[in-house]
Amino acid sequence: MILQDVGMLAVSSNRTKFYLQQMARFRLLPAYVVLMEVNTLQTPEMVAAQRSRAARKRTQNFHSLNMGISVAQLLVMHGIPHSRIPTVDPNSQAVIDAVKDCSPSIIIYSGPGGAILRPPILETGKRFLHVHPGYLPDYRGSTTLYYSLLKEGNFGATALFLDHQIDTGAIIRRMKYPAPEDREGIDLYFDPYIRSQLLVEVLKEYAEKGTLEVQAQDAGIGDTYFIIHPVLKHIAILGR
Amino acid sequence: MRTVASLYTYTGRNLLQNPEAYMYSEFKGEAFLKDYLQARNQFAEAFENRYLSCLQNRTSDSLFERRPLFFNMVWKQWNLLYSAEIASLHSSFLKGWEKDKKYHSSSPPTLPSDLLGRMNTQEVLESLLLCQVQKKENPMDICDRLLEFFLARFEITKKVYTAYDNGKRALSEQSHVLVNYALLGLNGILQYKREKILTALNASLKINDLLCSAQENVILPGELSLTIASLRMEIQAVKSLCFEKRIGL
Repeated sequence: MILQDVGMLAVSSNRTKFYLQQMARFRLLPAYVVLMEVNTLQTPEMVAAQRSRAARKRTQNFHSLNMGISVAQLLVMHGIPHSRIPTVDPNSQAVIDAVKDCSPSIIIYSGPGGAILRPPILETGKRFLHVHPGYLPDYRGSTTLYYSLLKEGNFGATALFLDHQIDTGAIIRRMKYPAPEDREGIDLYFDPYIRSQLLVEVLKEYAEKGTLEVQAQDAGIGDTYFIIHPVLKHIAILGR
Repeated sequence: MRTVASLYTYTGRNLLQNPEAYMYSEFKGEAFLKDYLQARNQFAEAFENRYLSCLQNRTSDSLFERRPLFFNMVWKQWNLLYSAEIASLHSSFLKGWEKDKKYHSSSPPTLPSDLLGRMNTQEVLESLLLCQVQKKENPMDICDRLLEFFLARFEITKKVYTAYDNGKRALSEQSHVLVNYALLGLNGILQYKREKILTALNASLKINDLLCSAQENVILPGELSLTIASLRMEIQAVKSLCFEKRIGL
C-alpha cells in the first residue's frame, strides 16, 4: 500500500534505512522521498557508525533489519519515487523547493543529527512528522535516550509534528521501551529501531483512520537536555 | 600536563579557542572512566601545586582582595577538598584578613533583585554560589532559574560571557575570564548534588574539561581555588553516580 499523502525527507542513515524497511514490511510505503546526500560529505552519524566498537562487533542485521543496504537501493527496490538533492542541509533552498514540489502533505522527517528545521521549510505548508527519541515533554533536546536511561532505566520515543521550537510540537503518539541488554549499540541500532517501531504504529493508525489525532504540548512543562558528556554516556551504557 | 595514551581525550586541545561539540562520542568501555578519573586527579594535583605556591608566596589577586567574605565562606565549607597544607594556609590567610579593616567593611555579594537588568556574570555567579552554600530556601527558586540560564547558555555557545541582558543575550564580547568558568562549574556541581539535576552535572563536566584544557592560563589564586574545588567535587559526584549504577572503578 502506498500512503499517497505521506512523503519523506531523509538523509542516508540507519534511521532512514530502518524507517523504509519497517514501512515496507507493513506495506505502508511513502508516495515520495526527497533524499539529501552528498557523496564526499558524511553525516556525523555515519562517521560515528564507522568508528564505533558496536559496529565492529555486530553483524549487519538488527531485528532482521538490514543495515548493509543503502537508502538509494531501498528506494529502487521498493519502487518509491524519489529525488536526490546534493546537500545534507534540510534548510537549503534546493531542499525547500523539492519539498514544496512534492504532493504529499505529511512529510516524515529523517534528517541529519543536530539539524533543526527553520521557518522557511516549516512554512511550506507541509506537516513534518518526526519521531523524537525521548518521552515528551519530559525529555526534550539532544541525546535524551541516555538521560532517560540514567534517570529512569528505560527509554521513550514520541511521534510529533514539528513546530518552530525544539520538540514542542503537537504529540501524535508516545511510547516507553525497556533498556536493551546491549547498550553499546544505542546510537547505531536501538535508537533508529524504536523510532521505526513507533513510526509504523503511527502510520498504521493513519492508514486506518485517514487522519492523525494530536495533543498539543505545553512548552513550559518538561526539561531540555544538551548533548551528553562522554562520562555520563559511559555511565549510562555501563550502569545497571 | 597530559596523560600518556589516555582514553580520555577531551582536554587535549584548548577548548576555549577550539570548542568541543561532544556529538556522537565514542564508547570506549570501562577503561574510559578509569582514565577520566586518573586524568582529572592529575589535573587537580597540578592545580593544587600551583595554588600552594601562590599561597606560600602570599600571591593575591583582585578576586581575593575584593571578596574576602566570599572566600571565607567557600573555604570554611570546602576546606576538606584541599590538601592539609593548603587548608592550613587558608586559615592563615583568613586570620590576616580578619585583622584588616577592609574585611569588616565588605559585604557578601547578593543576587540581583530583579532579573531584567544587566547581569555582571561574576557577581551573579558568586552570589549563586553563596546562595547554594548557605542553602537559603527563599531565593533558591531564583537561584535555580539563573543557573539554568547560565548553564544552558554555556551548552549552546560553549562560552561564559562577562555580562548578559535579561536572560537572553551576551552584552560583552569577552569570554576569556576563567574565574567565571570555575564559578559556573562549581555552581553546576552543587546544583547537581542538591537536586540531582543531570543537565547541571553535564554542563559542569564540559566546563571542567575546558578549564583543564586551558590549564596554562589558570594561574590566579582565586581561579585556582575555585577550579580545584570544582574538580574535586565533580570527581566525588561521578564516583557516587558510578556506585549508584553499580559500576566498579
